[in-house]
Amino acid sequence: MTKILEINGVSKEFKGFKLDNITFGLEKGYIMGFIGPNGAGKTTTIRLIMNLLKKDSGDIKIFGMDNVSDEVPIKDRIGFVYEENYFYEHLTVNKMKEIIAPFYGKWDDNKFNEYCEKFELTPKKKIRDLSKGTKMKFSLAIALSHNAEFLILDEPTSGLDPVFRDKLMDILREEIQDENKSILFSTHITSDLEKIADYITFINNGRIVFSNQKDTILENYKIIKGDTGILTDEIRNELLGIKENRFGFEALCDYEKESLFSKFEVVTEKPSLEQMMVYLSNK
Amino acid sequence: MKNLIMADLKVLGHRIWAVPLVILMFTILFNFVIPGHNNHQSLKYFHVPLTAGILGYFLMEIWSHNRLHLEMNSLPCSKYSIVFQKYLMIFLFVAIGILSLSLFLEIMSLTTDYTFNATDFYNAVNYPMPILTKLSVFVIPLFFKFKNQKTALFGTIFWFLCLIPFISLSIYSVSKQNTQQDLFLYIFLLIISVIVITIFYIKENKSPKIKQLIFIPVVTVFTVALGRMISILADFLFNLSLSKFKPDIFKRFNGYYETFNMDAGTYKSIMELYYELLKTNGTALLVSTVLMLYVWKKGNIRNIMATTFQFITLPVIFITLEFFLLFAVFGADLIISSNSTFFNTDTHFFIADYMIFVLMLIASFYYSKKFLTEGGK
Repeated sequence: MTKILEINGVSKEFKGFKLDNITFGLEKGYIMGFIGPNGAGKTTTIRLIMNLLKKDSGDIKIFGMDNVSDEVPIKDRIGFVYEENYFYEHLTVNKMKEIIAPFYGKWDDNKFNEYCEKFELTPKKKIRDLSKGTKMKFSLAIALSHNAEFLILDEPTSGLDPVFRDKLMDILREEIQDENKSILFSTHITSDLEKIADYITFINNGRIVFSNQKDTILENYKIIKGDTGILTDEIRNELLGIKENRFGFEALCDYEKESLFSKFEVVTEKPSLEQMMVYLSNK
Repeated sequence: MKNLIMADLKVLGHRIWAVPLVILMFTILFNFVIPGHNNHQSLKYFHVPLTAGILGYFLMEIWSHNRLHLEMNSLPCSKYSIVFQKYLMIFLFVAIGILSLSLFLEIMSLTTDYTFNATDFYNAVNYPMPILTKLSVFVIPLFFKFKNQKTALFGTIFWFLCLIPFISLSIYSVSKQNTQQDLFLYIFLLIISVIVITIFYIKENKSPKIKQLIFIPVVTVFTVALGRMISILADFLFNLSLSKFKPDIFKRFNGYYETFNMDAGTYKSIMELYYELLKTNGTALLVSTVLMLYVWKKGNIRNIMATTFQFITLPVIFITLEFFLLFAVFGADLIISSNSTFFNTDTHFFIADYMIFVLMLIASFYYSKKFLTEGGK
C-alpha cells in the first residue's frame, strides 16, 4: 500500500497547548476522518501538514516527500478546503479562479466549469454575496479542479445544514471512486464520517487516542447500559467513560471488558463515533 | 513570481490606476488653489510616497484577516517567492508613483511658467525614498506577524514618529552631550515610563505586578543605552582612527573635533573625552540588562519581552549601525582621499543610508519569511 500521508512523532508547543508526539498515516485511496473536540489539535495538525506552522520536532511526509523541503511539488498535488473563507470577498467567482488557476500545473478549466454547473455557482457573482454553503462549494470546486491526489478538508461541514452536508458526502464519495485520491477530513460532526470514512483518527488534548480502520474501532468498543447498583469500584476502574443518572448508567468500555457484565442484566450496543468521542474526551 | 504579482494586481483591481490618478488630480488642484507661485515644487514630493503608501495599505487591507496566510501559503509557491514578491510590489508601486510624478511635472510645465528639468524629477524621487524604503522594511514583517494592516502601520508609525527620531537625535549629538545631559535623558525616560505604566493600568483597570512595573522602564533604558553605547563607540573609533591616520585633519574642524584636537595626539586624551559618556551609558546598559535578566528568569512575561525585543531593539540596532557606517564612510573617505571631501555630507549619508538599507532588508526579509510560517491562529 502506498502511503499518501505519514506523520511521525510530530510535536508543536504553544502557550497553553501542546501537540504531543503525534503519529498516524493514510494510505492511497482512502478517506480518513480526523475527529476530536474543539481545541483538541485538529487544525494545528492540518496547518503543520500544510507547512503553515513550523513543527518543533518529528517528520511529515506527503506522497513520500518531506512537507517542508518539497513544499511546492506537494502543494501542487493537494486540494485544501478550510472552514473559514479565505477568498477575497470583493472578487467574483471567476476572478478568484483566474487568480488561483495559474499556480497549479494540472489546472483543468473544463473541470472547474463542470463543478460550477454541478454546484450551481454563478461565475459573475461576488464571493461576498455567496451563502456559507455556496462558499464551501466554491472552495471544493477550486480544490477539485486541479486533479489533486490528496484532499485536506478542515471542518468543511461546520455551520452547514444537514442537506448540504449530505450532498458534500456524496461528492466526496464520488471523488474517491477512482482509488487514486485520498481525503483527510477533519470534523467534530462525527455523523458525517460514519457514512464515508474508512479510517478514523481521534485526537484529544493534543494526543492521538487512536488511529485505525473505522470498523475495527467500532468493534473494539462497547456501550453498556444498566442499573447503577452493579457498578463496583473494580468495574468502574475498567470503564473508559461513564454517565450516570437516576435511571441507571451508560458507559463505554473495551470490547474485551464486556465479560465483566456477563453476570448482570445489561444492554450492550455498538457505539457511534460521537459516543466514543464524548466518552473518550471526558476520560 | 509572475503569478503572484498578477494575483496582487488583480486583487487591487481599479485601485491600481485610480489611486495615482486621484493623487495627480489633487496635486494639480492644490497647485492652483493654494496661494503662491511655486506650489508644484513642494507638491512634487507627495507623488511617490503617497502612491506607494496608499496602494501598499490597500493591498495589506485585502490580505488581512488571515487571507494571505491561508490562501497564498497553501498554494504551490515557495515562501521565499511569496515574501520576495511583496517587496517587489513596493518597487512596482514606486514606479507607478514615478509615472504619476512625471505626468504632474509635464502638466505643470505645460500650464505654468515652470520648465520640466531632470534635477527636480530626481529630487522628487530621491528625497522620499530613504523614508519609504525604511518604512517598507519595517511594515512588511510587522504585517506578516500580526496579519493586520492597522497594527503593522501603527507599529511602524510609532517607530518613526517617536522612537527612531528620538534615538537618532540622541545618537547624532553624541559627542556634544555630556554626562549630565545623559543623566537627564535617563531620568526623562523613567518619568515617561511611569506615565505610560499609569495610563496602561488605569485603562486596563489592573493591579500592577512588580515584574511588569520593572519591565517597561528597564526596556526603555536598555534600548536607548544600547543605541548610545554603539554610537559612542562608533564616534570613539572614528576619532581614534583619524588621530592615527590623519592627525593634521583636525585643524580643519569646528565643534567637538576642535575640542578634541586641543587635547589630541595621544590615546589618553581620547579616552578622557569619551570615558564619562561610556561610564554613564555603560552603567545604564549594565543595570538594565541585569534587571531584564531578573525579569526574564522570574517573570511570566517572556513572550511580551521577546516581542518587544524584536520590534524595539532591532530598529535601534539598525539606526545605530547606520551611524556607525556613516562614521566609517566619513573615515574611509578622509583616510583614502588626499584631497578630502569631508563637507560633502550628502554623498556620505547616501552611502551609509543604502549600506544600512541592505542590512535592514536582509533582516526584514528573514523575519517576514519566519512570520509567514509561524503565523496564523
